[in-house]
Amino acid sequence: MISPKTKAKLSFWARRLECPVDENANYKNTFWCNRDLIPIPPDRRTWRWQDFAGYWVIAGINTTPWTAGASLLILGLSVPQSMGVVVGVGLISALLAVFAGRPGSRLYLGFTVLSRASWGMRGGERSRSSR
Amino acid sequence: MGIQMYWGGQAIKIVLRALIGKPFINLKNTLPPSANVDTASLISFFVFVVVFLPLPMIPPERLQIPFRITFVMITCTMFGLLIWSQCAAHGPGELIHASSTKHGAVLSWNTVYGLQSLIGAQASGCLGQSDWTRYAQTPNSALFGQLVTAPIFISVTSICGILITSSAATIYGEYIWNPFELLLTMQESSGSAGTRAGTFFAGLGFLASQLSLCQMLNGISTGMDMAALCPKWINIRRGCYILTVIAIAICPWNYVTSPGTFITVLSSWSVFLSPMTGIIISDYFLVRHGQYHIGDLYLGNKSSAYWYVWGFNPRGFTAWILGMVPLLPGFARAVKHTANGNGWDHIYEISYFYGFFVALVVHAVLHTVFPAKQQRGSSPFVLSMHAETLERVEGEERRKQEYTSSKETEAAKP
Repeated sequence: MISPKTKAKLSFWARRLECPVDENANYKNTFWCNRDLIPIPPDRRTWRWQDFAGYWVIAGINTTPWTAGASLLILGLSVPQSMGVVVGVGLISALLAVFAGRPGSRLYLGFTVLSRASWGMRGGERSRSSR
Repeated sequence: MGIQMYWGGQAIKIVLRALIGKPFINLKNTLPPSANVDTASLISFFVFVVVFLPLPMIPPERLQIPFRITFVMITCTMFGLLIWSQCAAHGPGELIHASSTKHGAVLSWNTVYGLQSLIGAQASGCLGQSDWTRYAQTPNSALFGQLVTAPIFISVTSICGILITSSAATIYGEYIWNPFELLLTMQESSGSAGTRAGTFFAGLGFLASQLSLCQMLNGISTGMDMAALCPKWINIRRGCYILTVIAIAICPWNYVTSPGTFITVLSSWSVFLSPMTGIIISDYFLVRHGQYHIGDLYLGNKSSAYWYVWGFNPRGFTAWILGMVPLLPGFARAVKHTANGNGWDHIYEISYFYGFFVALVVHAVLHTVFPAKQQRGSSPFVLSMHAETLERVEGEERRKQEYTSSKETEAAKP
C-alpha cells in the first residue's frame, strides 16, 4: 500500500499547502476555523459608510434591475405601475439587507459561520452548499 | 457566477469591437451552431477570465479602492447612456405610454408576483450581507448604504432601463432590454468614430462593473462558503479560484442562450433562499437576542452549544422544510406552464414572502417550545483558550484526560 516514505511526503505537502496564518496569530487552522472565518479583528474592520454606499451602487446598477422592466411589462403592468413596483423592491431589499447584515456588524461573524448556529455545526455545511 | 462572467465577456467583446473595428465585428464564426457560442464571444470570455484572475488576490478588507473606481465608471456609463438615448430619440419614446394589458385580480396577482420575484433576485445579495458588514468600521457604518443608496439605485436603474429601452426602440425599431445587446446593436448599425468611442467607454464601464460583481456577489461570499467546507486548506482566495474553474467548466453560454431554463433555475433558488433568510434573521433577533457562544461556533464536537443532534439542528431544518415544501406544487406547475390560478399557484406567486415569514415564525416558535441547551447567553471568542480546546479536539484524547484530571485534583485540593 502506501509506504511510510510517501506518507511522510504527503503529510509534508499537506502542511505546506495549508492556508497562510498571520504572524502572532491567536487562532489555528483546524477543521472548523481559519483566518477568514474568525470574528474580524479590529485592524481588519476597514469599511467606512462611503464604502458601503459604493458597494450598493455597484450592486444596484446591474442587469437584473435594468431588465426588471421587461419582466414586469410582460406580466401586464403599465410603465407607471412597474416603476411603483421597482421602488417597492428597492425598499424591501433594503430592509432585508439591514436585518440580515446586523449580526455581521455586531458580532463580526460572516453568514457562513452564523448558519452553523441555526442549522447545527454539520447542518451549516448543507445549507450553504445549496446557496 | 458563470453567467456574470459571460456578461463580462460580452463587455470585453464590446471594448474589443470598438478598438479593433471591422475585422473583429466580421470575425468568422468557426464554431458549430450546437456550441451555443460564436468565436468572438468565446475569445472575449477568456480575455475576461484573464483580466479577472488577479482580483481574488485582493483581500475583502482592501477591496474598497477598486470598488470606488467601478462606482464612478458605472454611474457615468448609466447616466451617459440615458442622456444619449433621450437626445438621440428626442424623448422617451412610445413604450412608456403603453397602458396595462391585464385588469382586476389578475393584475394584482401579477403585481405581487413581479414584486416578489424581483426581491428574490436581490435576495442572495441580501442573505450574505453579514459577509460584508463584518468588515464595518463601526456597527452602524453599513446602514447608510443599505437604507439609502440601495433602494435609490435599485429603482433608478430599473427606471433608467425602461427609459433607455423605450428610446432605443424609437431608433432601432425593437425592444432591446439587455444593455450589452443594446451596445452590440449600436456597433452593428453604425461604425462611425463617435459610436466607437461611445461604446468603448460604455463597454469599459460595464466591464468594471462585471468584474466587481463577480468578486462581490459571487467570489467572496461563495469563496467563504468553500472555506468553511475545508478551512484548513481553503481560504476565501483559494475558494474563489476553485469557483472560477467551476464557472468556466459549466460553459455559462449554454444557460444564457436558453433564457427559459435560466429563469426557472433562478426562481427555484428563490424558493430555497427565502426560508434561509427568514431563519438567519429569526435566529439572531428572536431566538438568541444577539447573544452567541462564539467560541462554540468553531468547535466540532458534542461540547459545542451548536452541535444539537449529530451536528444538525432539527428545529432549523423543520422551519426550512415547512417554508419550502408548500411552494413546490405551484413551482412545478409554473415550470410545466399548467398553472391556472388555484391555491397552490397563488402560494407560489407570493413564494418569497411566504417562505420568509413561515420559516421565521416556525424557527422562533420551535426554539421557544423546545429550547436547546445553552440557547441563550453568550461567551466571547477567547483565542488562547480556543486554540487549546481545538488541540484537544484534534485527537489528543490522552492530553484532554490529563488536563481534566489535573483540573479535578486542583479543584479537590482546597
